[in-house]
Amino acid sequence: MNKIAVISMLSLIVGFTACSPDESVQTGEAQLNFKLEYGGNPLVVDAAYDYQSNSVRFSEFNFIYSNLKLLRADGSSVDLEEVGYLDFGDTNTEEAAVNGLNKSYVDLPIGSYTGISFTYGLDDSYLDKTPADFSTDNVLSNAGLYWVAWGNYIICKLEARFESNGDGLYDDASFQYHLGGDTAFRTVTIDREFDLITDGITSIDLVLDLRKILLIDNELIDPFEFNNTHTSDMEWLISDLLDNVQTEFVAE
Amino acid sequence: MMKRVLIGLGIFIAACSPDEVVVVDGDLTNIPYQPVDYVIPQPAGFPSMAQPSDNIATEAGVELGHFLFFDPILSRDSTQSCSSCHLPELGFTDGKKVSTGITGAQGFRSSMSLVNIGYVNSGLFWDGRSPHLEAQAFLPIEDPTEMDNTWAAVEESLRNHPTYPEMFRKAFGINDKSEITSDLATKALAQYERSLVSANSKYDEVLASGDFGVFSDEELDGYFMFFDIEGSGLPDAQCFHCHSGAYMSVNDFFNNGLEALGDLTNVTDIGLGDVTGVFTDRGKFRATTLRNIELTGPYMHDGRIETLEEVVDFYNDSIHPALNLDVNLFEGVDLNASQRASLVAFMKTLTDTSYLANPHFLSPFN
Ligand code: HEC
Ligand code: HEC
Repeated sequence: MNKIAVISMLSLIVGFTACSPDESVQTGEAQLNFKLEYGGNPLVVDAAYDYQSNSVRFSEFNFIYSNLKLLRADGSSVDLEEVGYLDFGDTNTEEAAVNGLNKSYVDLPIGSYTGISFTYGLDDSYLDKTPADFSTDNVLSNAGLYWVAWGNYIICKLEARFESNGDGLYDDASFQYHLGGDTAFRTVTIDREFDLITDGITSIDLVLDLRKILLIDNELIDPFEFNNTHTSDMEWLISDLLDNVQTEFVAE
Repeated sequence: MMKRVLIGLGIFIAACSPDEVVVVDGDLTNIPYQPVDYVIPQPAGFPSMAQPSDNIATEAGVELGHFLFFDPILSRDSTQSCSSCHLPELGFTDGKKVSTGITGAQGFRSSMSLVNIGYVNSGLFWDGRSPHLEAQAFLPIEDPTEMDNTWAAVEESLRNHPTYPEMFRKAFGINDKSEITSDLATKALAQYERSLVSANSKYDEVLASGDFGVFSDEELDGYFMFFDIEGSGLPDAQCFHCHSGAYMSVNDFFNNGLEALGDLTNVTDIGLGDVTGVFTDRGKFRATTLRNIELTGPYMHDGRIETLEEVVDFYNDSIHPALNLDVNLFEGVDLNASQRASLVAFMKTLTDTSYLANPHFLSPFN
């Protein structure tokens, strides 16, 4: 390479570096790991856990969230996602349960943060929406998440089967708690101080213990008595379960 | 410029091997390539159909797929096309328990309906083994119980065909016959399949108008039970948990209790479990669409049930226990004879044969 070429390349590089500091906003990356537990242990889908005097296997847990954001000390916030969906149906190994479901968000302003907040469910701006309002690559187009009879999204499905007679088939009782309705959403705010930095990922575990969700008046819900939430006389249970979710998310 | 290079190359090759017959006339660049997007219809009640960014349907692509779908050229002995097992008049199924390939060999699953197939956004087939239509279309060609061919042979036949090279040029802008590949053929087939949208059933009329008066009393009763509508005074049939929405499927996999699979150690057709390797997925199958269900019997993945009446009897009387029986069917279904008839009447409102009057859904060779 001749001298002139080298010099002109060098000046190009110098030119680039000279330009960059004013233009770039410094950004960082956050990773949120949503994890399920049952009585303090990682919850493996389809594995057996004690439940009152019975044994339980959870077969399904999924939920829709919206307005996910990070909260800053000055009261402002940084939006991460408008609508998202987490399906724990495949966390059927110990390893998958320990890892949880990981969501990564890049290009976030660096600095100090004080917490995370989201709507568990869809806020009321979605009340008149149906799957036909979305494209098949959007989770809200999913017919399985829409409750035709109620005209609402099913924002959370929690399903389990129980063993009490010892034959190992887990078909002695079950519950299908499908949460939906005009008021089936809660704002969850989780306090947690953390910094986002330029080089490095800030990873935060958001843990929900299903055993705590299923405690009503300090007693685990009886699946033999309450099998589902499909009728309007069960709205109280939808509401109680959502109230529990609202307070039981923990950041670790 | 490209053309001249190609011609130059051709002469060069020809000059090097004078004794061999050298095909140098594969050039297609004199045929115009002017792709026009194909507008996929958007019926009331359906989500809009997302297409893969690397295979957006064009008029010429869909047309090519239309010909390929109905052309036996894809099978080893040119006796079977996709449409041999996906007949338009049977909701694009074949009316058999399980399908039969060119050698007479039987597969072990029942053919599946393809009208509105573009709305399936998860694994295709009864067991979900194919992630999308492009990937799916690779498989029947080389399946020994289906078309029993090789893709190399198909590519060869298509390249030497009098009209396909021009159609591939118009659909994908290839410059030379030699660029006809399995990749492009499957893309065209997928484009055509996404264009198979039809929604003119009685159920669609209700979805579009919101007027339930379109249903007869019997059909309306069936609707109430199917969707567990509260306050109708009728029992819940629980069907909507798995068959719902405009496409009438939630596109997910379940054990609906066809067999007593017990603790899942002895399962004949493992279904989804074979694809995921997950023990509790053994014996799960896709809850398929119920659109045109009146036309697509025999029913279930292995065609074990002949009629819709028997399907409803099965859900009513014979759901078998198993470690992974879906919890939505735990309580069982308890309908009397007239309620069972109403449920069947409702399912028949999902029949839409209007597309049979549309040449786009029929063989282009007739
Ligand atoms: C010999 C009969 C036969 C032929 C020929 C055949 N299919 Fe099929 N098709 C089937 C059967 C049987 C299934 C279900 C197989 C399974 O799930 O294991 C099926 C499933 C499908 C599905 C999945 C549908 C769904 O809802 O998941 C698509 C798409 C499909 N075929 C398209 C095609 C195309 C395109 C061709 C031609 C390239 C073709 N088929 C040729 C018998 C056939
Ligand atoms: C738990 C989910 C679930 C529920 C609830 C359910 N189904 Fe199904 N359905 C399935 C699955 C899975 C299949 C395919 C099963 C197989 O072939 O192994 C199926 C298959 C069918 C078929 C045959 C489809 C075909 O293409 O051959 C019909 C008809 C049907 N169901 C009707 C109903 C009716 C009516 C109800 C309510 C009484 C109902 N289903 C409730 C999951 C369900």
